[in-house]
Amino acid sequence: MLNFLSGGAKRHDAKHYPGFGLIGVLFFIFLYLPILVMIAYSFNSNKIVSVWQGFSLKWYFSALQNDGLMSAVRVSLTVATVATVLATLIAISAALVLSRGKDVKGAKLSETVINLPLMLPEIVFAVAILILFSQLGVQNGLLKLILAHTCFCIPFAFLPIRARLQGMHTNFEQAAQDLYAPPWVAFKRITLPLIMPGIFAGAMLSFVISMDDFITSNIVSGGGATTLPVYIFSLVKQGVSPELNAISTLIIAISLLLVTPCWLIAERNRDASL
Amino acid sequence: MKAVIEIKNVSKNYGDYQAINDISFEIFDNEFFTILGPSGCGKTTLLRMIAGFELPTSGTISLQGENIQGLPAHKRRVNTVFQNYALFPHMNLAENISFGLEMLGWGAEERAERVNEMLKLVHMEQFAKRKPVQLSGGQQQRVALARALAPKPEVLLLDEPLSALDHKLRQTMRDELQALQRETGITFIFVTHDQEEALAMSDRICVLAHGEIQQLSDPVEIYEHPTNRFVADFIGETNFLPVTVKSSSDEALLVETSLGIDVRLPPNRFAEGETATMSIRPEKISINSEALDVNLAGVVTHRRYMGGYTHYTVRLENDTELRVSKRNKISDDISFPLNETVRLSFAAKSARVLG
Amino acid sequence: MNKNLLGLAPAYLVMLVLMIIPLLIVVDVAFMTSDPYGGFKQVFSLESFQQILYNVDWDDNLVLNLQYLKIIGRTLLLSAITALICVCIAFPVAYYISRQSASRKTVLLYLVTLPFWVSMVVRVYAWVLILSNDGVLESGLRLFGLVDDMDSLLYNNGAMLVGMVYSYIPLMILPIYASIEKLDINLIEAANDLYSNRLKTLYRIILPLSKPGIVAGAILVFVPCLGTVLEPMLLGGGKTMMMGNLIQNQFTISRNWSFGASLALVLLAIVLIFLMLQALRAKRVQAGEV
Repeated sequence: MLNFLSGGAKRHDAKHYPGFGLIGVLFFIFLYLPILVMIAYSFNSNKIVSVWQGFSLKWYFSALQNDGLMSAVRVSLTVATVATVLATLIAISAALVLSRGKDVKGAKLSETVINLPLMLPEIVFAVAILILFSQLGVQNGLLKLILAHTCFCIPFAFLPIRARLQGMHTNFEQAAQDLYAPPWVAFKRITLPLIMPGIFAGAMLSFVISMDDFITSNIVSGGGATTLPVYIFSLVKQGVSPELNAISTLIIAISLLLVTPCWLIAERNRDASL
Repeated sequence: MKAVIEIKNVSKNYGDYQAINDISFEIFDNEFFTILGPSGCGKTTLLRMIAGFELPTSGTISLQGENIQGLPAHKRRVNTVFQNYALFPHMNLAENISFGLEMLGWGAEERAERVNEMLKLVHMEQFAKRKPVQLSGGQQQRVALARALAPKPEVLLLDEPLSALDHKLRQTMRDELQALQRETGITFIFVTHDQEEALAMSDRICVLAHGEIQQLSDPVEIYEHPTNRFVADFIGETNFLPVTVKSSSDEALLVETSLGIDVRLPPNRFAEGETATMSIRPEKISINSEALDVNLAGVVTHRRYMGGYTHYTVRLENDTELRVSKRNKISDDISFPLNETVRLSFAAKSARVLG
Repeated sequence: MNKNLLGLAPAYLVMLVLMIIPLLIVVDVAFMTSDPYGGFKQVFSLESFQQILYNVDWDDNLVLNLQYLKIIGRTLLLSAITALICVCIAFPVAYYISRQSASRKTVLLYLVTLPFWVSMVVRVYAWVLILSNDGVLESGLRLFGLVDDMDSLLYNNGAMLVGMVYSYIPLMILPIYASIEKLDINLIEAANDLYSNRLKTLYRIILPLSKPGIVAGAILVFVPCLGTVLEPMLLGGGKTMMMGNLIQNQFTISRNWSFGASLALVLLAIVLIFLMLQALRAKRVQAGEV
């Protein structure tokens, strides 16, 4: 990454723009330095965050014993899991109709409707669903969160599955039927395994989007259900603290553990095209 | 002979577009039957209707005398070799071949035995555990064949299976396909736009254009006795000359050609005074050899050396141009120079008068 | 029952009940009278829209109030500046990535998208940690004796801009990268061969051809910025508001639902206008008019 300094042969390469490499390196520093600083300071034993005193894991222990945090984690995991399962099932069913159904009318309209949450500013959605819940008198915080999250997760689950189905030739399903597989068996044995990477990607995306959501959760929450980002936000508003650094670091570590294998799988699947 | 497939008054419309227009024919047991036509002629539609992927707008299709109209694809005892093979990418070769047998409810042992048999048949025994992506085009082709043949279908449908292969491999696969058909005794219905392929492999050829049958007979008949201009033009190369019928009797047909001479031909259905087209294929015309029924003189205007033979274009005295091809039998004596005057001759029975 | 309808029904049901009907209710609420005790009363009025522009004084006269217009203006301006800064950074970075070897490209793209998977709140918090009073940056500078005491770096437009650029820049890099990748590298050599220098090639060949990516990226950054909530709340403090947290406040602190709903409609209208302009442009480009 340091070869932006070397001139030499590149000076004559018309495709090489001097300075772009420097901007690239500075950009990655900008992108990662804040996170790295935060991680570093999570190991600072000093209660005053910005003054380094010595290495310590004590903030991690106190974070893990924090009941508020643990209950927020439980809420977030519950909401994300249920919303992901629901959104993915709804998305699979819609994607199958839109790319395999015969004589589907208004396919364009249907896709627009499914992708609505991507087009609206989230704050507008959050406000709208808040008013709906209050009008209907929905009190249960967990239920409110699950319903709202399922709704905005649907397009994130839908798009990868739809893309996978469109990239896949209908030949495979026809070949299965030609070889005496009834439609349901052809779906189970051929279509489903072949679109699995898409389903996996969609579910993964939904899960992360749900876990990470702040705007909607912050407005809808209450009724005894606070999600992790909302909880962290409330801590941030109280000010910088070493425990907060530790919590943030844990969240980053878990995100990395979840995302990296998915990314590796996606990379491998890209080569094994259909 | 027994008809395996019977197609009766079948039509297929897509909205206003008529893909197949009232077609009827039979395909016999143990036959290598080819449906030949340019792209968009309806040949693939016809094949997909036999397979059960599409339903005819009207008419009936019968398999072994039984109307299979309402039968979905997975209940028809026919199998298809798809154009791009459609091998299931997440299964290895053995699993691919075994799939149809499993669906038919075969036991595990019988399946394994049949899979081995099929792999052996297509010379792919050592690849049983490979995934389709690890195979070359020709190998995928063989596995697709094995997979489709494994359940012992009444009829095997092949949708341009050779089109994705390179030229040399295509030649080899032609022989293999033909051998496979003889070996298994299964009726093959082969769809292609390649006339050379059709002539080389088929027992019978159905020439299809604009959703209608142009001619249905064996390869020799199709090539030597085309029934209309389309068939004569689509299969092989030919020269067309406008003619007027002078007299027509049971013994002979006498036509006046634009070449300024009259030609006496075998009898035909044309009536006196009718205008028609005479077709004469380039290889039926000899250059500077002994006189035949029709003899003409002209100048060589164009010449293309093809190795085994040379194509000439010869301009006659009345400016008509005839394409002539000559086999290069002797190495040093292979071509006539440009602008040289040559004598052309052909036998009257080699020419055809078409509507 | 029709199988197609059955398969689409769940998606339609969710979107209808949780998205479309709620939006209609928002429209309804925006035209209601706000209830001083929170919520709203079922009485039609344009009061909440009027409130965006005017205050009512003691004598029931309307007095022009620029407070909310300023917030709307700031939102548009900061979002536009964010998109602009993102383009200026993202273009060289995307170009730089596209010139790397295949394996390095994959890793760099992974690094670009990675922060996106990390909780937004945590990422914004990292900047609070750095910029706050006695924060990491100030302590660091003090350590090297560069500053003695400085004004807080937080709670101003600059801090919000840094946070927004930081949050949304991956959305700019990816589409620009995609359009640069599509660009036939021979074109650059062809321009060079035809006596164009690097700078001219950049302006005449590379930039015009990566325009679709730049436009797509600008929309992808600009639109979410309009409704962003976290950056103004955590980095902007209470004083420098944007539309996102202004709307949110109407439903949390102020409990003036009608006013909040009317602001939400204004935001929605702004976003839709931009999306429509973009769609029209895309259509014209497709028709080959541009």
